[in-house]
Amino acid sequence: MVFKVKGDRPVYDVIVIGAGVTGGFVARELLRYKLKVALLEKNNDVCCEVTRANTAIVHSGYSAKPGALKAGMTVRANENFHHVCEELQVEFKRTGSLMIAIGEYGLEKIYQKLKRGKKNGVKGMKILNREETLALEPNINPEIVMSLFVPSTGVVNPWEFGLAAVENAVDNGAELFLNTRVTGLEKKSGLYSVKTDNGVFTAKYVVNCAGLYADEISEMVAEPFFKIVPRRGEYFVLDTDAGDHVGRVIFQAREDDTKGCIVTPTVHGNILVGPSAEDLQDKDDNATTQERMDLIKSVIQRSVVGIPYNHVIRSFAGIRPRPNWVSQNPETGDLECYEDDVKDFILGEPEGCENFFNVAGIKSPGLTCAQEIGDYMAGLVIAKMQNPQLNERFNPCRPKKVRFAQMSLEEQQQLVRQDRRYGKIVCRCKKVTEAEVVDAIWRNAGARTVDGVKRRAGTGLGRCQGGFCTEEILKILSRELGKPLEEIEKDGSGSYVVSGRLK
Amino acid sequence: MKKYSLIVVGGGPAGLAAAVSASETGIDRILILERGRRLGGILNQCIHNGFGIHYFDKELTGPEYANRFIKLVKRRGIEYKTETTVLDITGNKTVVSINQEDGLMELQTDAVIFAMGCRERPRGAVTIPGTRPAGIITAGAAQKMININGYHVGERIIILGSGDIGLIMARRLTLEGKKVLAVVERMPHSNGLARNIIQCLEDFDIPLLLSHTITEIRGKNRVSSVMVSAVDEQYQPIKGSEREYECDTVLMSVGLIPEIELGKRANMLLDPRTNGPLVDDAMQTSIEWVFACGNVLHVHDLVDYVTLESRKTGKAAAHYILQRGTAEHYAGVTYAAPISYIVPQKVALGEGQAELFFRTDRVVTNAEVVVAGGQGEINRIKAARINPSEMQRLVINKEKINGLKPVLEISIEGVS
Repeated sequence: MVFKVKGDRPVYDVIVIGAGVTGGFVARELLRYKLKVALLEKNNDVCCEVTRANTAIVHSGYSAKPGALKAGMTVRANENFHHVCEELQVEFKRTGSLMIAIGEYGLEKIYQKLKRGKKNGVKGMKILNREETLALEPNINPEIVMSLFVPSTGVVNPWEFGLAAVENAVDNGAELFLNTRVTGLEKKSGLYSVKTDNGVFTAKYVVNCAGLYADEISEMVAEPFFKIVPRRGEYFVLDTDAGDHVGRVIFQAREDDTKGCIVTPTVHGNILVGPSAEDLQDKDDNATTQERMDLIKSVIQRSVVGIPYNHVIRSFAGIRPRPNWVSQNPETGDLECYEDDVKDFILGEPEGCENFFNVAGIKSPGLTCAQEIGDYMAGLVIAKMQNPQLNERFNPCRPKKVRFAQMSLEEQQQLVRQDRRYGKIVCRCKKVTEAEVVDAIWRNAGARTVDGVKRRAGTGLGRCQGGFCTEEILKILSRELGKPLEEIEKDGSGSYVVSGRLK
Repeated sequence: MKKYSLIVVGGGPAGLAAAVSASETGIDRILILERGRRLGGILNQCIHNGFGIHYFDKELTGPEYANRFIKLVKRRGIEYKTETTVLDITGNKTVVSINQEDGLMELQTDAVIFAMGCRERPRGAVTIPGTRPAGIITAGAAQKMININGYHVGERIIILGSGDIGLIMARRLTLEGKKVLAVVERMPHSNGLARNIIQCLEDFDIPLLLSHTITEIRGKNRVSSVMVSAVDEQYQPIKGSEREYECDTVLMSVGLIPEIELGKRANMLLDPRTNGPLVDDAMQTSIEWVFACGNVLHVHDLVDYVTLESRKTGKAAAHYILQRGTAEHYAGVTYAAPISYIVPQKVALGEGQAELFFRTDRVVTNAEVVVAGGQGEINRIKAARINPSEMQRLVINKEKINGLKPVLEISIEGVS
C-alpha cells in the first residue's frame, strides 16, 4: 500500500474513486485483466461510510421492478453470493426472510411482491398463513394475517465483505491511496487528470464509486443530472443473549413501498433492529437521535413483539445514498429534483463524458449487488479498450483468515504451537487472539485504527464493546506501526484516544 | 493431563482470598488462573487508599491490599499462571485455558471457584443519542490508562454516573491537572459511597448533578460537547433544561455487571437481579463443583467484604473437595422492593449461621428489616438509613428456619 506519495506518478489505466464495497469490487473485477488500477479513498481507512453502516442483508430480488438492471443483478448476485463469500472468506448466512402482512393492504402488497419476484426469477417464494408464520417465528406480532417467505435472503458481514473486496483488489495489484480526496477532474488529450489533496493522478478511464458524493464527482466532468440525497437510518444492536429472538430477516409490508423497519439476525449472532429513514442535508451527519430511536421501537411492534431492549449493546446510524433525477428549471435556472426518485442504479458514462463512468445511487440492494456491479462496470470499461489482456495471475481468493474462536481445540492447540501469539486472547468477549489482530494490521489494505482492527478482526464487538481490549489494541497498533500511542486513532482522522503522556 | 484439587478462575482479591482460605483448610494442588499480567486484579490500578479499613483495620492502597494476599499465596506455595485466559469449563470437571507458554490446556480438577470479577456497562447499554466519536471511555478503562499505562484520556471531562470508580477518577483527573466539569447522575441519589462524594467531589468543588443525564453526545471524530438535561421522576429529560458542556471526554460510570460468561456457556443458573450465579450460603452454584465469590457473584461496595466472602467460599469449596457432607434441604430466600437483591438466593437448612447480603433500590430511612422463616418472624432490625450504594449484611441463626415451609422472607417495613 502506498501512502501520500507525491511527485511523478505513472499513468494508470483506470482510476477508481472511492474504496467502499462498490469501488472495491469494481477494482477487483477490473483486475481480471492486465491493468494498472489506482483506488483513491479520502478517508484514513476503506469502507468507512455507506458500506460500514447498513442493514447487512443479502436480498433475494423480489422488490426491484422487472426489467431494471437491479432486478437481474440482485437475483444473480444472491445465487452466487456463497461462492463470492467463499473466495473472499466472508461470513454469510442464508437465513431466509419473511415479509409480514397486517390487514388488507399488507396482503395486497405481499402478493404483489410474490408476482414481482416470480418475474425476476426469485426461487422458492411461498405465502404462509398466520399459523405457519408463527410456527417459524414465534415472536412475530400475532395480529398478522399472512407472510411472504423467501428462502434465499441472507445476511452478511457488510464491512468484511467490502474490506475483502478491496484487499483482494490490492492483492491483485490495485494501488490503494488513503487520505486522498478528489478535488477536481479534467480531461486533457485523451487522459483524465484527477486532482486530489494528495497530488495529481492520471488515467485513461475513471470510475466514480464515490457513494454519497457520487453526484459531486460526476459534476466535475458532466452536467448535473442527479443528486444524492443522504438518507439517515438509525439502528439498535442487541447482545447475542437475545440473538434467537428472530431467526430470519423480518420485513414489514409497507404502504410507501420502502423496505421499512427490519428485525434481522446478524452473522455474529446479534439482532439488528432498524433502520429509520430521514432525509438530511448533511452527508456526514450520522448522529443518532432519541426521536428516531423511539420511532423505530413503535414501528417495529407491528412485525415483531417483545424485543428485549435491555439487551441493546450499541446504537448507530448509517447514511444511504438516495439518488434523485434533477433538471434545470428553464425560468429560474435552478436545479430541481424530480418528485419520483431513481428506480435503478446509475451505471455508465454520462452524456458527453467518454471514458468516465458513474456508479451512483448504490442504495439497497447495493451491498447484495456489489460484485455484480463490479463485473458489469469492468465489462463497460473493458469494452472500450483496444486489446484487453486477461490477467492470468488473478487470484479471486483472499489469503487464509484464521477465526480462532470458531476452531476445534485440536486446531487451536496446533495454532498456538505454530505461533504463540495465538495464545494471547486480546478480545475476551469474542475470543480474538493477538495473532489475528496482527494479521488484520498487516494484510493488504490493513487496519491502521482501533475501529479498523474491529472491522477486520472482530474485536470489541461483544458486550463490553471494547471496554477491556481497546487499550490492548492501541498498544499492538503502536508497536506494529512504530507510532506513539498518542498518534493511534480510534476511527476517522482526528479521533485520537489518549491525549498525552503522564509526566 | 495434570490434575488439580481446586482451580480458581481469576487472581484478583476474590480469587486470592479464596485460594488462600482453601489452602488453609487443607487443600493442596490449587491453581489460580489470571488473565492479567500480574496477580491482584483491578486492585493494581486502584492506587488510591481506603482499602482494608474493615479487614486489616488499616488504610491501604489497592496494590498494598493485593500484595498482602499475593504474599500469602506465594508463602503457601499456591500455583498460579498469569496472562492465561479460561475459555470454558466442561461437564467432566475440566477447565480449558490458554496462554502463550503452555498453549491450550485441558486441566482436570475436583472443584472450581469463579472469581472473575465484573465489567463495566458500556455506552451502548444506555443508548445515549448523538455521534460516536473517540473520547467516550468507561471509568475503569480510563483508570487503567492513567495509572497503569501512564497516558491521559482527555483534557476536559464530564462523568456520567456516580459509581465509585467515576468519583475516584474525578479526583484523580483533577489531581493530574485536568478539568472535570461535573458528575451527572440520573438518579436522585448517588451510587457512590458517601465518603467518596466528600473526598472526591466536594473537596475539589466538582459539581454532582443529581437527577440529570446526558441527552446527546456531539463531535465528529473526538467528543466536542455534550448536552445535559434535568430528568423528571420517570427519568425522562425535562424539555428546556438542556445545557451544553464543552468537553473532549465522557467518562462512563454507569454500573458494573458480573463477568459470568463462563457460567453462561456452561448453562449455570443465574439471578436476573444480580446478573451473577444463583448460590447457596456456601457459595455453591447450580453446577455442584463450581463455587463463586466476589464481584462475579454480585457487585460489592468494599473489597474488605469481597475478602470475607471469598474466604468463606474457599473454605466451603475445600469442604466439598474433602467430601465433608453437602446440604440436601434448602430454604429459598424471598424479598420484595425496596430490596433489589439478596445473595445467597438459598440457605442450606441445618446448624450454624447464614450470612446474607442485600441492597435496596432507593434510600430507606427509619425502617425495619424483618426476617421471617418457616413459623414466623425470626428477627426485626431497626435501620435508621440504608443507602443503595452500601451492601447490607444480615446474620441469621439457621436453627430458626424450620417448620413446614422452608423459606426465608426478608422485607422492609415502614418505608415511606
